[in-house]
Amino acid sequence: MNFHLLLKTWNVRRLAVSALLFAVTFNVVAAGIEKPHGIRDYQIGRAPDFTLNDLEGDTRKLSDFQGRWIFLHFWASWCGPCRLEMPHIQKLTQQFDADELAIILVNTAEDEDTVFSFLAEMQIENSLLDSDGLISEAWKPRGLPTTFLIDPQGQVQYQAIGGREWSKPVYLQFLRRLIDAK
Amino acid sequence: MAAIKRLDKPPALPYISRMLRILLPIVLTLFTSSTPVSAKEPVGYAQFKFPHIIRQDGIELELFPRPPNQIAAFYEARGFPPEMIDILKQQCYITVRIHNRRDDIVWLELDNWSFSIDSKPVQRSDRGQWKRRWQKMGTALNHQSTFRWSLLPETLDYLPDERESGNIILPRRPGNISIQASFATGTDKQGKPIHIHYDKLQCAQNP
Repeated sequence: MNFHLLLKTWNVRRLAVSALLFAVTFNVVAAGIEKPHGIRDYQIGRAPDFTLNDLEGDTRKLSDFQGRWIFLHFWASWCGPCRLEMPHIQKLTQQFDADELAIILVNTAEDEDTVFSFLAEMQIENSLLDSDGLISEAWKPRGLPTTFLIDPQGQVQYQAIGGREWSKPVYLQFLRRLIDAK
Repeated sequence: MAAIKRLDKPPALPYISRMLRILLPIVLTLFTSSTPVSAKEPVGYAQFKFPHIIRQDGIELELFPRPPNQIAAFYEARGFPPEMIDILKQQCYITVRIHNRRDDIVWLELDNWSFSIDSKPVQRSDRGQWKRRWQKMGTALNHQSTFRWSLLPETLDYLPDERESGNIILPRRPGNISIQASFATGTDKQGKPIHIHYDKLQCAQNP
């Protein structure tokens, strides 16, 4: 075996051991965190990246938020459970600093005016606009609304089923434990 | 003070109130009995009333036929073009809500559902068929997307206590709709299957 091949094999082994260690560590940490009702494990691997404009016309990339937990939420103003859930998300934004939990809303296939007036009503400042709905479909939410929780390494870890009362202590504590376990 | 004030009121008010108490039930009876709902309905269609709820083996299945005007209003409010709405108004829309109240997984697979109207089999239009239709018409992607979100998923594993809903679309015909819905159960679909049959449904008519 020549030196380069040996080095390559060694690097691959080192990478595999690191990945294994990370997986074990995360699972040990995650195993200690009890999931509230409606949150399920959803370890599908790396979060598919996307680039979308927000309401102010700024371009945002999902991977730019890596390094902290991401609360990725797909919604539409016409969906009843989304309307019920949004006030809880608004309260959630007041509970966590943006550098510990990035709350990213993605509106599915509605126009800017509709999104703007709905969010103003909900006192939420911004949302990404998936104007043609293709990003939402690529992410395959079970329905609307759907929330994915992505860890600081960019791996999808959990999925919330339907609308959840995020401002309730059980969900706040769950999110806090995830952040603190980083 | 309050009692004194009541005594000071002119006697007309108690009189009107008494008259109302007598006349109101009469007027209400006249109105409701002079416009029987069934007299206005074309034969074979139902008025938009309440959902039909079927509870069986831990599955709660809610079926809610939607009248064309309600469907049109929903999509008009989403900015759908008239040519799309015209097509959708001609369909038989049934909103389906499924709630898994069991402790194991329930599998929705719409291919395992069958429909008939007055004993004649009818085909549900699936997502693929609608997609091709909208693409042929050059429909904007955002409208295609919103439309797809309003449909019941073709397949979904309902986790315990999960509740999801969406529409199924049948050809709009008069008569009794019969639905045969089969659900696999368990993580690997090896549990005892559940078969639900319901035939007290009709396409909804505008009120």
